[in-house]
Amino acid sequence: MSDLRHITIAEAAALIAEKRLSPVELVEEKLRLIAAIDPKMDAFITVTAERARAEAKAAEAEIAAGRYRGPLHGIPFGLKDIFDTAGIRTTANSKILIDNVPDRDATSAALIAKAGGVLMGKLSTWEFAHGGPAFDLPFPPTRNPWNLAHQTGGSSTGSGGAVAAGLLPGALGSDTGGSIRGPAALCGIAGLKPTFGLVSRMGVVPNSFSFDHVGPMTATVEDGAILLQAIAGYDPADPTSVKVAIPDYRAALAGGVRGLRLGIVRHYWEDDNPGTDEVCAAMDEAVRLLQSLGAVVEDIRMPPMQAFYDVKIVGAESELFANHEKELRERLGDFCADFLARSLAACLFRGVDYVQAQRERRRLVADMQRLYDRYDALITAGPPSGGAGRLDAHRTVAFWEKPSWTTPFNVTGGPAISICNGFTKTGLPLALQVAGAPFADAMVLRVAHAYERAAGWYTRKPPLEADTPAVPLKPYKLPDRIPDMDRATREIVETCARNAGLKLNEQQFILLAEAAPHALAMGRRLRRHKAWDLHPADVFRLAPA
Amino acid sequence: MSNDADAKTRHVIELRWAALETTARQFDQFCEAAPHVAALLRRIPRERSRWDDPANVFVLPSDKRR
Repeated sequence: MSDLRHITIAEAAALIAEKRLSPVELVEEKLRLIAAIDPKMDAFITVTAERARAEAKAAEAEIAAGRYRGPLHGIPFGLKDIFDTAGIRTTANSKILIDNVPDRDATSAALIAKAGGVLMGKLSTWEFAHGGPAFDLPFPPTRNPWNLAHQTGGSSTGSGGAVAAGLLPGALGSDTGGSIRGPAALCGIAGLKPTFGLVSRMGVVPNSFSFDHVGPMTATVEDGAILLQAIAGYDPADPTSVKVAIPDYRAALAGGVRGLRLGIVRHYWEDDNPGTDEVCAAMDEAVRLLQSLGAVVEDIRMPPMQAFYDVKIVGAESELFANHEKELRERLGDFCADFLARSLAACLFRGVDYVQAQRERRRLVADMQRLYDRYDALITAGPPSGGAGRLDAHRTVAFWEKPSWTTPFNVTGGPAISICNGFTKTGLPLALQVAGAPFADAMVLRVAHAYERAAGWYTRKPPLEADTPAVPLKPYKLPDRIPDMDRATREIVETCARNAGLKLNEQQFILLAEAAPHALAMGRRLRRHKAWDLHPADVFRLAPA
Repeated sequence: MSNDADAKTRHVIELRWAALETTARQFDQFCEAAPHVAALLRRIPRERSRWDDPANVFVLPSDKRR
């Protein structure tokens, strides 16, 4: 469509710094692309065109006056619609917050604005960064720019779709169980979940207090490093924020992988959640490429993927339920079915289960140290299914059936990035993950950048154009009968729902009943005996004066 | 069923959910405590801003900070 469609942040920044590209020209082109293409894919919830034009003019004037702020000055960006933006609605794609207009900016949004970024709009999300894809939300599900019948993954759906389609060079997303890396993988871009506590969560509508991460979604790893540089740092307003020295992430990219030790978590894509033949072949090829670049690779074992998933789901769903308890009791029908299919089962977790999950989390975090001591970074696969699934084929119970490939690193809190490592025969992106020790974000970016540049997949762009025919879809089917369950289990489910103050109609009970066997099994697995002195990962401690 | 019978049935299910086997005396103790526990849970404030983090949030150990 134009040379500016898929221009990266790094490329645009270089041109802007040399005054060879005007921020006004860049923003106008992006607004034109959004108007032409977004109606096909629904990545945006709100386009802030007038504000963007004003900010672009201001950036242009500042740069002309010699006050260039750095590589984000005059660069368009977007925010998942769970980031507070003063005076701009922040809906979380939920009827619950449909009229919510915050009076402050999220810390990360304010930091990008301070660096000179131009806000183009608010991007679609699964409900409260959790339930989706869904056809029963205020805004429609984002379509995948590689194939409009397919989903983008979630929950940062609009961020993934808009960046892949070239509507934006970068966006922020959030990642509680994979919500940055999932859409990045399925849309063929780079999505970084930074270390927990490195980027402030302040002003980002919570999904789960203990697992939420904020991070960049960009066309390239280098662009992710540029965005991370702007948003990383201590924020006293976020109790999980940590004071650490912030390195020069972009400079660290140049190191390459020669001599680095990379642990290959092969059992994750071969055994724990087996990938398709295409996924396995792409991973084998990626490992060979890293080796040819000089990396020392060795197959390793992490704790089972299911162990991480049990900890995350019991912990995060309990926190999510607590955060939405009032609305779940009083406005249950205002949530989409997929949100309920995930969250209602938290009524089956007991306080004891939550504590056991947090104790197990501490054990898992400690267990990873043996790998961090031996390896510079860990490599594992992206989605085992390969490419994105069709939107109309989604099943609400899928969330419970298999452990997620992204979730281990939400539990460890260490950084993890998803980047493209090939395509399916049908033209949909595949992905791999690079992960690392907490606060080794620069190393993770370095390894990912070296692979990305050598493999070259990032140069391939989706075929979506303004004249691409729309693809009408019918909503996927919701389950319509109560699954078989013994009387004792049904009594527990009914009693727990009643004790939690939930008033369920038949459809809502079916959603809970489908999840129940999986949720109850998670609780049982977490109950195995633990050492008396194994503390939870989230012990109370007084803030230092 | 009377309210008492309803409550007892519910408590049997709650104990089964917690995988606890009780003697008759322990079950009576559980039933005696249950209304107080329910009242205690009702007293915990639930009308919170969605921005209120718990007091025991997860923070990465300081020795892991590189």
